[in-house]
Amino acid sequence: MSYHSPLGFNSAHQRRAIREKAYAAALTALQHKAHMSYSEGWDRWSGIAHDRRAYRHEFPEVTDCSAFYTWCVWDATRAEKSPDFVNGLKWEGGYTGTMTKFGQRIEQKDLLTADAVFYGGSLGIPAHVAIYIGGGKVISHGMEGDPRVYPLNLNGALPITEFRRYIR
Amino acid sequence: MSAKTSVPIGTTSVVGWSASAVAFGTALVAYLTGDHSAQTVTSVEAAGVGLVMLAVTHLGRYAQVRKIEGTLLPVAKEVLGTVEKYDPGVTAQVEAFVKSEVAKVEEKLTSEDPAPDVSDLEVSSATPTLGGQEALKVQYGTATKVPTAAAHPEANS
Repeated sequence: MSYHSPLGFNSAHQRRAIREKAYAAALTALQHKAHMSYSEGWDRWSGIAHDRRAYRHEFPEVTDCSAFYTWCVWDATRAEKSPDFVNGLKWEGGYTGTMTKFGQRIEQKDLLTADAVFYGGSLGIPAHVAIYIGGGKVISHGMEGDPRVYPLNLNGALPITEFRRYIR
Repeated sequence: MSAKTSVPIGTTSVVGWSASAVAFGTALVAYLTGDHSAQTVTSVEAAGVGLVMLAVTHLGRYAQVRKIEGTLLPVAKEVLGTVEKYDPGVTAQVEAFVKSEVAKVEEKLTSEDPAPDVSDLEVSSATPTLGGQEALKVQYGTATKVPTAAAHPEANS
């Protein structure tokens, strides 16, 4: 059965490569967590604004959960020069409330690496989002000291609201 | 050696496979008949890598080459040890073994999910304090536009 990607990622190989890059970006940030801080101010988009790239071992020094997820996917799709398919704001802004307007809702059983997991809040504006990395784990950047690897349920911090797929 | 075999980018010919398999078998036979020189060992490994390189060429996944080399070299060494110990004459079986390993790599590359091994990543037992996203609503209106491939045709490449 053929699959037409709304974003032009028509090859499974291409989508796989993007997922792999997004995971690598999240890992890069994880390795530099000591140099990262949490902010919900506009500076949380500085990672993208300053062209911080994981392949150069760079990471967003200041970010929040939604900007962190967005940075991972943005970094993974620079070769494709993809438009902002996460927040629809030209990679210049967003929060969970814009993220839920994009992507595709999926079931937990269908989770793939680099899918988004939303927690708490409401369906339209979840309180938190993390990047799924496989094996029932996510990398979350929701407070000072993050990013960290957490189990999918964030140790019960917040209920899971929904799962969404952007790389499709 | 497979290095002398011309393989068009993006396609893997039967000739290419056969040549690489023969190169692997030839180098392996040289090893099994007593030539344990570093050069021969290198040839065995290089020919094995050549087989995988063909698979990579077929899949068009050049970015994976380094990773696959790392995957195959231990396999080649394992092949040498196993064949020498049990049945030095069955190079055809060795080739089949290597091809099966290549098939595994192909299968992994074809899967949409990279499925990284995350078992080594330490999981935090802390319960995070979360939830500032609702307050960010005031920064954004409802003016968001869903992007499409048509707006950025280069994404189709």
